Amino acid sequence: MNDKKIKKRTIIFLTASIVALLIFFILGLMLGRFNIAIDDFFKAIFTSDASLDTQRSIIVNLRLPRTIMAAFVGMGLSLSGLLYQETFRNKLVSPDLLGVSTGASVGAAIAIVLGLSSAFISIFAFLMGLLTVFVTVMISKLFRNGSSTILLLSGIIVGGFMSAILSLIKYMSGDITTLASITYWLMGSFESANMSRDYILMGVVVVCIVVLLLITHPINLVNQGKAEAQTKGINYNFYRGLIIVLSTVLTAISVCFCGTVSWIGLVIPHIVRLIAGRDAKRTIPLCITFGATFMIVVDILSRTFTDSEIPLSAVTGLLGTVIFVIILIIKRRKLNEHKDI
Amino acid sequence: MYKKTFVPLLVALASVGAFTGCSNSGNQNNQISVTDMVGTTITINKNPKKVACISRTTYDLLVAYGLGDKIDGAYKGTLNNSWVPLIYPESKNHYVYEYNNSAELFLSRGVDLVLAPEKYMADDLNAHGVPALCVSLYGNPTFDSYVTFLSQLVTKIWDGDDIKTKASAWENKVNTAINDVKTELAKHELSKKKVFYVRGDKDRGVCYTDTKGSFTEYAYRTLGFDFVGSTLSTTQPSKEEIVAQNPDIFVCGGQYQNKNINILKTEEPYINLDAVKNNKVYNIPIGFTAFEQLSVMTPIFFYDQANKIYPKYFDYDISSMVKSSIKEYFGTDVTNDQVSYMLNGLNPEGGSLY
Repeated sequence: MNDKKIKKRTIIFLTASIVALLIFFILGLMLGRFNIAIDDFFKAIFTSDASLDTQRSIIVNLRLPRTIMAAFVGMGLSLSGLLYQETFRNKLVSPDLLGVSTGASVGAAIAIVLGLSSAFISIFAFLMGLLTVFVTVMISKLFRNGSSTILLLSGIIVGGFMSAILSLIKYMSGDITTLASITYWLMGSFESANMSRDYILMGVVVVCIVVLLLITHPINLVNQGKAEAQTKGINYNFYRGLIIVLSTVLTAISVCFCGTVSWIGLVIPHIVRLIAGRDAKRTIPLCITFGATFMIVVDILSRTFTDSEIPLSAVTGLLGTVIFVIILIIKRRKLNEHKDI
Repeated sequence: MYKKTFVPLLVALASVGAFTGCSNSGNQNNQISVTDMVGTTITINKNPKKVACISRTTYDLLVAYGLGDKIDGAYKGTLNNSWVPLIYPESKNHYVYEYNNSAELFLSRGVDLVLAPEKYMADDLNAHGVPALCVSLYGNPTFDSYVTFLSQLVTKIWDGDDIKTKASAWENKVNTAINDVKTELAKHELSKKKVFYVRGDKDRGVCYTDTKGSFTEYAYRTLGFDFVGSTLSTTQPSKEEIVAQNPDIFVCGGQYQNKNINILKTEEPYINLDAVKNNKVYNIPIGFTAFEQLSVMTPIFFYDQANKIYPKYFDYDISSMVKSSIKEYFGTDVTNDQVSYMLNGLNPEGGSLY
């Protein structure tokens, strides 16, 4: 397919996904366990009718913060998945590649066992996520080999170590309610969303996105490998480091507020690549809108049909696996060609 | 070689078998078959001397019936309550158990009976040679026929007229309290209202309750309410679900009750709910145990909640009842201030319980 066609298709999908994002954002405010009639919904937003205080409170205090959080977490995890996959030139890696999610989980589990508030759980998760990636990078440096494979291996080692620590914390938590809290956190939820957390999340995600959009050209070159990038005159190590730092921050900030959310970082980049190829100028904007929309849909599903909330990872897992199968079917011909080879 | 190894081994095994057989036959008169709350029947030794009270409803009643010296330990959630050492100082000698404990721990401590809160725990312990009975927090399908179950179980397991007298007296008090409240309520035409119980024994906020089959569901049904938790499939409904239910009354128990009451009265979206607007948010006293747990305070729990919810019809002297019950069951004198703290969900010094 030529570049013009891909460009045209990207614009169409981007426009459609922006419209879909707006629609689902509004649906996110309208739908939930508490039934709000459409006219009451608009009256609650645009008038100060005292009889609709409860509806207004639900929309403004419960649904708005979590829908915003869902959108930005969706953007963050989709983008970090895309960047990791492209940087490491491996389409099966997820945002947890360098151990950031397992590290964040350890941080959150420690905070839960210590009985700290949800704000501290987020802080512990964020810092531990970053610390884990730092350790991964340091271990990879021990090999004095700048290859991506070594970094990948270090990520697997540190991720495995953190998983073991997490198991130990869960085992030592003893109290079944603490264990349940850790397990529930690990499955992901937007229950603790509020506007002050949203401001932090939005700030970090927007800054990362702006930087990423400014360096789309270097990202494309880094994706082609060290030799190619250096031939084109860019500082490969610097840009690769910057991309990893941004991806890690995006993952850590997302995970620290809502727990671990599986599949989205794997599925959305695949869908985006099917539409727009590998050019970061196109894939990044599409990842933003697709990721946000997907996560808002997941949030609506998780909180609308049962009297408690279904954990996010359960919903993303169900949707993600189905979508992934569809992607594989679409790519069937390509896979068969590989098989022949 | 074979002979040298196996002959002594066989002799040893035969001797062990013979001794075991002897001890079994010797103990047969001291054994009893009991059926627990989930219908499992096991044979245990009568009058066990080292009991582990992991189920949170068991410690209080055993101590109150004079069996404190037969307790080896209790669940940490029960013992980590500042009222417990004040009311029953000997509790300091009791081992602090986790919720999930290995069979080896019980065996190493010589525990001869575990009162477990869940069936899987009791089954697992029995399979590993530790006698265990399930004393669940939930009845099946409701708690109606289980209110005096533990009390009756205790009188089956332990001999002693004193225990039987105490058990009988407590059961009478419970039945009297329930009848008193029911009889008075029957005199008035009351519309069915919805009550939401906020558990508060863990720091899980307002969205934490009991479901169908719990003692609280039974209690508030007896008090003439529709118990919101009985319509839920989970103990942790979402905020939106609570708002959608819009209960007429909130009752808050556990050590976090005052925190939860404050949340209900000050935070969105709860401040818009009918119960909060109409100032129908009540606390449940907490002492040796939370009063809404099946305990020696169960009769007083009914009277206290009737007083609060229906002030027009009930006016029991709860403070005197609490004082005399603690003296009767635990032999401890508590001051008027301490009773007041108990009734307000505070610790023995009047501070927060969490």
